[in-house]
Amino acid sequence: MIELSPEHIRLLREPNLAHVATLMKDGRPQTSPVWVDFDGTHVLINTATGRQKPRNIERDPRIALSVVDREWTQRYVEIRGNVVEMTTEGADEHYAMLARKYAGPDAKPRHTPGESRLIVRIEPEHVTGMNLGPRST
Amino acid sequence: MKLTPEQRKLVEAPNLAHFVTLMKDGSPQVTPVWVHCDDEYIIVNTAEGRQKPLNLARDRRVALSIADAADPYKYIQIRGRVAEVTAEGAYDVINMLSHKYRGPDEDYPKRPGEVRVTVKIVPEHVSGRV
Repeated sequence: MIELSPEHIRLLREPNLAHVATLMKDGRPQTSPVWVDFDGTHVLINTATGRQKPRNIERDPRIALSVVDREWTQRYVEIRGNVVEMTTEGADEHYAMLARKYAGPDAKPRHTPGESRLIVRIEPEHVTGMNLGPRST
Repeated sequence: MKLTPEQRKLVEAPNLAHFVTLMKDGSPQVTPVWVHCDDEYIIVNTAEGRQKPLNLARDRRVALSIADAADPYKYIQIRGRVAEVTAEGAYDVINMLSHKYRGPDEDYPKRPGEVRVTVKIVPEHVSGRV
């Protein structure tokens, strides 16, 4: 597992959308925009049981994501890694926290009946990007 | 072309696309790119020698997700395959993309030794919320 720099972590902690890629059954790639954050060790995303992403991850834990700085679109981080855990434990609270981060303090996350939220923990293996040095003013 | 008019508008506006290719071991790799479309293809432009064209030479299966910069709840996801990677006219394409994303006066700088290539993608499965 490689360690993320302060610049990488800042991009993940600020309300920047992430685009995460997983693999379909036949190995074909799939990608969608998601909310993301960082817990000090792992990159975290939040999804729901039964969806394409967790079904793909169950079969193949290899995952990639890109996060663009919403304030300067030429700065981004690209992470490749593996999902090390998917759990419903704490997932509702995590989803509510992400809703507040991205949609504001009064945001009420929508729950689809029949689905349970899932926290997906990603261990970064390879990190690149562009313009990741300190911002010049 | 599988995109609805609403989906096409998302691609034609200066929204970044996140473009996924497959590494040698089959793992995914995703980067933000400039994108456009015509009546047949989703169009991306890169340069020879980079990871993306190296990956595409091996495996033509790709995916893209594009979120509306003005409203991130609007997005499309595309799964498809690359029909062609060509250097022909590729500088004109990157110049067009530079004008689209940076402004009509922003030509793309010509860099010595850089050979641009245009990647033409056939969308096979499109979904999202526009």
